[in-house]
Amino acid sequence: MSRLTHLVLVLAGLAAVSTAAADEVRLTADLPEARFSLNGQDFVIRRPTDPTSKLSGEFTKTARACPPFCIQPMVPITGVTPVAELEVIRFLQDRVAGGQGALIDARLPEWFAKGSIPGAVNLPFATLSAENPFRNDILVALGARPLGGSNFDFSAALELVLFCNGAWSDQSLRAIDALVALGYPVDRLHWYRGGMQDWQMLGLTVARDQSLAQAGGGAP
Amino acid sequence: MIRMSLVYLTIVIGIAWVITGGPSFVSPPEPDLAAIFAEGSPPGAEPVGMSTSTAAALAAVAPPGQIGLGRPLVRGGDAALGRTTAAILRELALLPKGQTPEGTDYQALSSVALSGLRSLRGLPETPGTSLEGLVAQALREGQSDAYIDALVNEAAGQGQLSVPAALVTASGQVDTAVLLASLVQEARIAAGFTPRPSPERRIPDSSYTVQPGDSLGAIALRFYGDAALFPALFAANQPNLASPDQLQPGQTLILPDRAAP
Repeated sequence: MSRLTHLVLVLAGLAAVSTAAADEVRLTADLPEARFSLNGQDFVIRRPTDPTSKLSGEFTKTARACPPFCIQPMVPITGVTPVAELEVIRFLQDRVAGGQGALIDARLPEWFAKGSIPGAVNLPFATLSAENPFRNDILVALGARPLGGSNFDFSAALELVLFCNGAWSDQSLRAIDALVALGYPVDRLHWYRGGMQDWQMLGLTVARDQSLAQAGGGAP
Repeated sequence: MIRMSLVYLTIVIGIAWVITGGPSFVSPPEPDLAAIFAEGSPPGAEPVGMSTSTAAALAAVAPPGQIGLGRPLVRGGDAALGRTTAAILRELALLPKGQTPEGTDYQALSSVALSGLRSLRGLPETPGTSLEGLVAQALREGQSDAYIDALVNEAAGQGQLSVPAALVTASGQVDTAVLLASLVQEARIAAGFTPRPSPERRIPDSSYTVQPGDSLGAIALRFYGDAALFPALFAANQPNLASPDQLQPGQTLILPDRAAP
């Protein structure tokens, strides 16, 4: 075999390796994708392999009126810890899958249906306002124990990660404020400030119409 | 084997008891055994026979965090009672359907969240087990007031539904009598049979000693002619009453000189 043929083979081999590297879009160097199962339903979170993948629609905007779309701080209330994507994924795999936590999408149902984080539950921020007659039912569904009137024992309440559209939206902060005012322990509340904006910017899997899946009791 | 025999014996005695005529609320108005066990029987109809003392006994041993057994889970807000009666009347087509006057459909928003959280926690889905759904269905079936009372209190005692705070009696039961009276009153007003009780109606300033079966709604109905006027009564008794569902037997309430709420 000539030296030229050798060179061609080596180049072809390099090309193949580089193509494979481009196709592989891991979450982290150690984590190709994340899988978890909630109440019998399987979920997977991964990143897109299509190199032309881009943000679209509402999430490409950079100009928004403030108020209401104001920039939010990192730590909204002392004791409520900020988290990012890897913590959200770990939370889903450990706490939520283990029955001790819930990932809360605090936006209104239309937004939730259009696309949310896999495994999230839609708890619209408005349901935690004092005007909602069913607010106490929601606290019980979050694991609080009613003690009569507006008093609750939160010792067995779920650990929560809340999010909304992102750092330009205050909906999840309104939900956190309301929960803290109702007595929810701050050390059981975490905030994913980046929200759907950052989640989608990283190309992470978005689930649509999850409420329908939930209504079906988690059937596959 | 012995356990099987006991179960069998219990079932036989139970059926015999129903046939020979138990308390009126166990049987529907027309004593038809098939109807009792038909698919049309309301959700939660089975545990009617469980006494409130059993519920209290279970509440005493329930592990922390278990969904409440004991006093009913309440809905706050001055409008909760009015919303409940309106929702039941709408279900019975005695009020026109349509948009909720408040603008935000809290029931729809909340049911999305409740269904999601219950599903996540592996709790049984309980579609239709709302106070409104339960009462509307029982009324459609022509069930007696006593039956409705047992049905609602059983479900509330097990934490399956929440009730307006004004319907909780001093002894921790749900005052279905006031709810049913309010339904009749609102239905008659909606049909144009009776005018709404006049808010100008005046009674002298006085006091009232709470009895075990009293709810704040019942006291408002008795003295002001409308259970939905309980907020004025509640406001007049601050700070001795933390919440409308916290009445204590023997407590003295101020009955304010009638004023518009």
